Amino acid sequence: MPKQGSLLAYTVSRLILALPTLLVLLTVLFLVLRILPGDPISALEAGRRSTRDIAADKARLGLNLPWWVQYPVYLSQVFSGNFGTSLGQIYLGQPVLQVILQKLPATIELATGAMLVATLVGVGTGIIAGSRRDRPPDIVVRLYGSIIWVIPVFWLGLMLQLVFAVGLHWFPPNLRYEPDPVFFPPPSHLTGLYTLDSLLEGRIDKLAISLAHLALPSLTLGLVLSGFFTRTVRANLLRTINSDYVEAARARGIRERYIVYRYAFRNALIPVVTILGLQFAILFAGAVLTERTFSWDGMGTLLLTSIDSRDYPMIQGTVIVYAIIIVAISVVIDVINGFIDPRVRY
Amino acid sequence: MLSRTVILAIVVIVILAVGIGAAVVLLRPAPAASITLWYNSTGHYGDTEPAVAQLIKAQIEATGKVTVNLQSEDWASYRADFAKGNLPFFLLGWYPDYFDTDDYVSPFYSTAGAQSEGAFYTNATMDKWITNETASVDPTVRGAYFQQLQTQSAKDVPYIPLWTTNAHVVYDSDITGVFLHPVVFKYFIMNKPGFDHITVGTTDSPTSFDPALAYDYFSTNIINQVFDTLLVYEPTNGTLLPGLAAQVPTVGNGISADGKTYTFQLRPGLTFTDGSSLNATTVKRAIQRVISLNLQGSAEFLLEQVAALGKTPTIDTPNCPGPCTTIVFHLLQPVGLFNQIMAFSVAAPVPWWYNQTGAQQDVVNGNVKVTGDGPYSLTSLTSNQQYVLQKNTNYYNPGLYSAFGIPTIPILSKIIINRYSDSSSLKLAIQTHQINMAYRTLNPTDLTALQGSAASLNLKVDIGTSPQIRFLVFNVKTAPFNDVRVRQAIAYAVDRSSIVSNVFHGFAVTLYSMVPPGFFGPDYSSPVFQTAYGSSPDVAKATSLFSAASLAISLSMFQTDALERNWL
Amino acid sequence: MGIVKPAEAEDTEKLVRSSSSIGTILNLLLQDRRTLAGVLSWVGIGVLVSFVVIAIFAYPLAPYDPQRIFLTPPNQPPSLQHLMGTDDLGRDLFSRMLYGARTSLEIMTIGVFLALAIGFPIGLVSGYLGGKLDRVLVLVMDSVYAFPGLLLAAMVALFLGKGVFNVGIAITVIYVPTYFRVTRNQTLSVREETYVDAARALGAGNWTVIWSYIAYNVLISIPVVFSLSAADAILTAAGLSFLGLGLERPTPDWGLDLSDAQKFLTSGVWWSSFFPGVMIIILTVGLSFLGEGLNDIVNPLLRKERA
Repeated sequence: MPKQGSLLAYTVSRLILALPTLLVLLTVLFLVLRILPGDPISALEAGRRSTRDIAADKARLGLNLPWWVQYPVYLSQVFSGNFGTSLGQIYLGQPVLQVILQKLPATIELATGAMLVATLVGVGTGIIAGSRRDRPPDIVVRLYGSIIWVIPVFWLGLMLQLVFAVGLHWFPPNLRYEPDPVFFPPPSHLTGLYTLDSLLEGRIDKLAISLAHLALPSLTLGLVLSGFFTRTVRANLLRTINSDYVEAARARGIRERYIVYRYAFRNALIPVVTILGLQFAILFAGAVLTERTFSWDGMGTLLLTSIDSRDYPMIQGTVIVYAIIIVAISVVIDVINGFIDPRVRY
Repeated sequence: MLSRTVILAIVVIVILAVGIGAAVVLLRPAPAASITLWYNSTGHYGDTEPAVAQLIKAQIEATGKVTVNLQSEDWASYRADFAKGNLPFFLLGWYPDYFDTDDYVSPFYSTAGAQSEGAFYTNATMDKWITNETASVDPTVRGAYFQQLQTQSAKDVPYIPLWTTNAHVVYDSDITGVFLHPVVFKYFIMNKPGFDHITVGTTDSPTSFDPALAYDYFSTNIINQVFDTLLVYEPTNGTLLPGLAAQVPTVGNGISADGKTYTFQLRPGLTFTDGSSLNATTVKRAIQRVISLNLQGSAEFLLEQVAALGKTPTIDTPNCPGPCTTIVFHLLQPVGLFNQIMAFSVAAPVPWWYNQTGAQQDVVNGNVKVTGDGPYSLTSLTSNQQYVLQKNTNYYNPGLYSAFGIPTIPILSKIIINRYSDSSSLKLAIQTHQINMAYRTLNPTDLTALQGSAASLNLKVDIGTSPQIRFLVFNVKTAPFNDVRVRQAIAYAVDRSSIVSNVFHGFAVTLYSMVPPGFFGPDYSSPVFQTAYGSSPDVAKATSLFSAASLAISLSMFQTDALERNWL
Repeated sequence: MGIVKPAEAEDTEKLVRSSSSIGTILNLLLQDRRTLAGVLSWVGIGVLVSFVVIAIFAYPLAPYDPQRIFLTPPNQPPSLQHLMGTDDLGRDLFSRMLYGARTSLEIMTIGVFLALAIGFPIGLVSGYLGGKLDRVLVLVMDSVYAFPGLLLAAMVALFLGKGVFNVGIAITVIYVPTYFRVTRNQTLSVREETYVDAARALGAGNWTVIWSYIAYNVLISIPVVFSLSAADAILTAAGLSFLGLGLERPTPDWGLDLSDAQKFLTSGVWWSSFFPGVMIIILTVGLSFLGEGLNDIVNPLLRKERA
C-alpha cells in the first residue's frame, strides 16, 4: 500500500484488495457446498419410483468428480461470467445468471426501502437522544435502540402483517405487486424495480401500488436495522458535541440547538458512512428472513429454494452475487471515506 | 465497596454455574434402547409433518420399551438418503399417477418398487401376484389378488398406512364449478359471475410444463389444463371420457383379446394453439419422444410396456398419410390400466417442433414455449411467482362436458395462479381477498379458522377426499427393523385417530390399507391393518412384542447418534 | 486503523495502568452503578444470571415434562394449569420455555466461547507479529466478516446437520472474525507501548510479551463484544430455526417453538408464538444492555486510542 496515497492510488489499492477477498469467499463457499449431503438429481425424482441410475446422471453433470478437479473448473466458470445452468426443480435448465438478474431488483428494492427507513428512523432517534443526553427522551430512545434490533425479523414482520394488513387493511400483506394482472397490470419490465418502472411509465397509480407493497417489508427490515443507526448517531453526536470546535462555538454564544444541527450533526454523520458498509451484510441476511415472511420474490427466496433442492449452480451463483455486491459496496464506501477523511488512506 | 476478591469470586461462580449446567445436559447418558424416526422438515408434505413425527414418537414411547429420536432433513437429502437405504424408519407419502389400485401396490410391494421407496422389501410371492394382477383386466380376478396382497402386507409390515389427507380449497363464495377431482383440479369448468378471470394462490412450485419431464402434482395439473390427452376424466370423478380420441377403447372395440394391442381413433382436424396439426404421427412422435428422452425424474417408466428402454416402440399409424387418425399401440405385455396411463400427462401429445433432444424449456428468450391443445394456454410465466392461463379460443371440444350441464368449456377467460412461500402467507392472501381462491396447501388450524369465519369473509371452504396416502416406511434390511416383531409392535402402538384429531383437526381420514378406500371396490382396499392390529392402539401387545424382540433393539442402540439427546 | 499517534500515548499509558485486569471493569461497574450505563449493566447481569439459574434448575422449576403431550385439545390458552398455555401438540409452554433457556444458553456458550477461543489468540499473534501472516489472516477474516452472517451460518449448519453443538459451531464461524478484528486492533495499539518496547529490550521473547504484556491489556475490550455477540448469536440461532436449519424437534428451543407456532398466529393462537418471542427478546435485551453499559464504562478509557 502506498504510504502517502492519492485518492486514485487508494481506490486502485482497494480494488486490488477486493479481488483476493472475493477469491477467499468463493473458495470457502465451494468447499462448504460440495461437501453437503443430498444432490439435485435425487431431488428431481421428487418421491417417485426411481428407475434411473442416479450415479450416471451425476457423472454426466460432473458432480461425482473429486473436488480438486471440480474446483478449477468452477473458478474459471465464475471468472468468465458463466455461472452454469440451474439443476434445481424450479429453474431447471435456465441460466443461473439470468434467473439471478430477474430476482436481484426485488432485493435491491427491498434493501433500498429498508435502508431508507433505517436511516430516517435511526438518524432521527439518534439526534433526539444525542442532543438530550441522559434525559427521558435519551433513555426512551436508548431502550428502543437496544430492543428493536433483538426482535426476530420474522416475528416483527408477522406482527406488522397482522396489524396493518389483516387488522387495519392499510397495506397488502405480502408479494411485490397485486396478484391480479388484469385489474392491476404491473409496470413494464425495464429495470425490474417496480417503483422506478412505474415512474418511467409515468403511472402514479402503479407507483402507489408498488409502494404499498413495499411498505411493510421495508418497515420490518428497516426498523430492525435502525437500532444500529440510532446508537451510532447518538454516540457520534455526543463525541462531537463535546469536541473542541463545538466548545468554541458554544463559547462564542451560539445557541445550543443551532450547534447540534449545524456543527455537531454534520460531523456526526461522517462515521455513519463507515458503518453503512457493515450494515449491508446485516441487511442482506435480514432480507432473507423478510423475503420469506412476505413472499417477496428476491435473491433470499431464490437462495432458500436452491438450498432445499441442492441446486449447486444456483446456490453458488446467488452467493457469489451476494459476495460481489458486498465487496463492491465496501470498496465504494472505503473510497468515499478516503475522499472525506484523507487520514484513512494511510 | 466490595473488594476485588469478592467480585472475582462471583465471576468464577457464574462461569462455573454455566459450565456445570452445560455439562449436566451434554453428558447425560444415552438411553438404553432407542430408534430414530425420520421426517421431512421443508414442507414437502405441508407444515404438519413435525407435529405428526412428534406424536408418533410419543405413541411408540408409551410402550416404555424404547425411546424414539427424531431426525429431519430437507427434501433433497431425505429423498437421496432413503433411496440409498440410509433411513431405517421414516414418514412418506404417495400421490397416484393414474387412477388405478395398481399404483398403490406395485410401487410398494414389488421388489423394484420397494427398493425405490427405501423399504428394500422383497417377497417372491408378492411379486408374482403383482405381475398377475397387472396383466388382468377382469375385476374379480384382480380383486382376489388384491385381497391376498393386502393380507400379506399386514403380516410383513414393510409399511404402516396411517391416514389420507383431505383435499381442500378455499374460494370466493360466488365462484361456481369448483370440484375436488381425484386426479385433475379443473379450472376450465369454474365460473365467477360478472368476472372474466380469477386469481388463485398456491404454495406448490412446478418442475416443468413439458409432459416428458413433469411429474409432480402442480406441474401435471397445469399440463392437464393446457394439454388434452387421448382420454380425459369426467368433471367430478375418475371415469374416463374420450378426449383427443373419439372413443374410449374397450375389449373387442379397440383392445385386443390378449390385452396387448390398443387402438385409438383420433378426432379429425385437431390442431395445437400455434396452428400446427395434431394427428396420429404427432401422437406417435410424442410417445416416442418421452421414451427416447427418458428424462431424469420423469414418468417415462409408466410407458415401460410400450417399449423397453432404448428401444423403438411399436406404434402403427395405418391411415397415414391421409386422414391419419388411427393409432395402434402394440404392448410388450398386457397392461390392464393402459387407458388410465393414456389419460396421464406423460402421454399428452406435444407439437412437432418440441425439443427432441431434451426437455422443452418453458421459457426461451422471454417467450413462453408451452404449446398445447387444451382448454387453456399458458401465456405468461414468471418462475416461482406467477402463471397465467388464457382461454384457448380454438378449443376443439367446447362441448366436452355438455352432458354434465356445462355447455362450453373453458368458461373464464383467464386463470392467474400466484405462488406464496408458505401456508400462512397463503392464508393471509385469501383472508384479505388478495386472491379469489387458495388451492394447496393451508394448514388444518387455518382451515378451521377459515371455516369459522367463511360466511363473514364471503368465502367457501370445500373439503374433499384426496387420493394421497401417508404412511410409515421401515427399511426391512436394517436392525432392529429387520425383525418383523419390531415392525408389528409399532403397528400396534400407532394411534391414527390421535393424529387425525390432534394434528389435522379432523381434516384427514384414518387409513388401514395402502389402497385408500372410497375410490375403488371394497375388494381392493379392505382395512387389513384394522383387522390385524385393531382400530385403537394396543400398548400391551406392542410392549410384549418389543420385549420379545429386545435382543434386536439392544444391538441397534450402537447405531443411533450418541450426540442425539433425549429430553425425557 | 488502530495505530496510536504519539500525542495520545500519554492517555493510553493511563489506560494501561488503570486497566491492568478484568477486575477493573467490575470496579468501574460498582462505581458507576448509579449512572445509566451502570444501571443497564446491572440489569443485563441480573437477566443473564437469572436465565443461568433457570437453565440449571429447569427440572425442579418446570411443572411438567416439556415433551409431555396432554390429550386435551391442543392449543389451550394460558390458564392456571398451563401458565403460558399449550402448543399445537398440547405440550405445556411454560415448561418448554424454562427448558428452552438451557438450549439457548448452551448454543450461546458454545458459539461465543469457541469464537473467543479461536479469534482471540489468532488476533493476538497476527496483530503482534504482523507481516505476511497477518495480511493473509486479515484478508480471510475480513472476507468472512463482510459476508452476511446468517447466510454463512445457514451454509455451515446445512453441512453439519442439526443439533445444539452443530448450531454452536455454525455460530462460531460468524464470530471468529469479530473477535479476531477486535483483538488484532487492540494488539496493534498496545504493542507500540513504551513498556512493551522496554520488555523487548530486556530480552523478553515474543510469546512472553504477547501473553504477559499484551493479552492482559487487550482483554478489557472483550466483555463488550462478548455480550453483544452473545445476543446476536441467540438471534442467529432463532433465524436458523426459522429457516429449518437449527435444532431437531422436540428439543425445547425458543426459536424453533416460535417458528413452529407462528403459523397459528393468524388464527388467533397468540400465546404459543408470543412467549418464545418474549423470552428471546428478554435475554437478548439483557445481554445488549450489558454490552452497551460496559461499552459506556470502558469506552472513555479506550476512546482516544481507537482510531
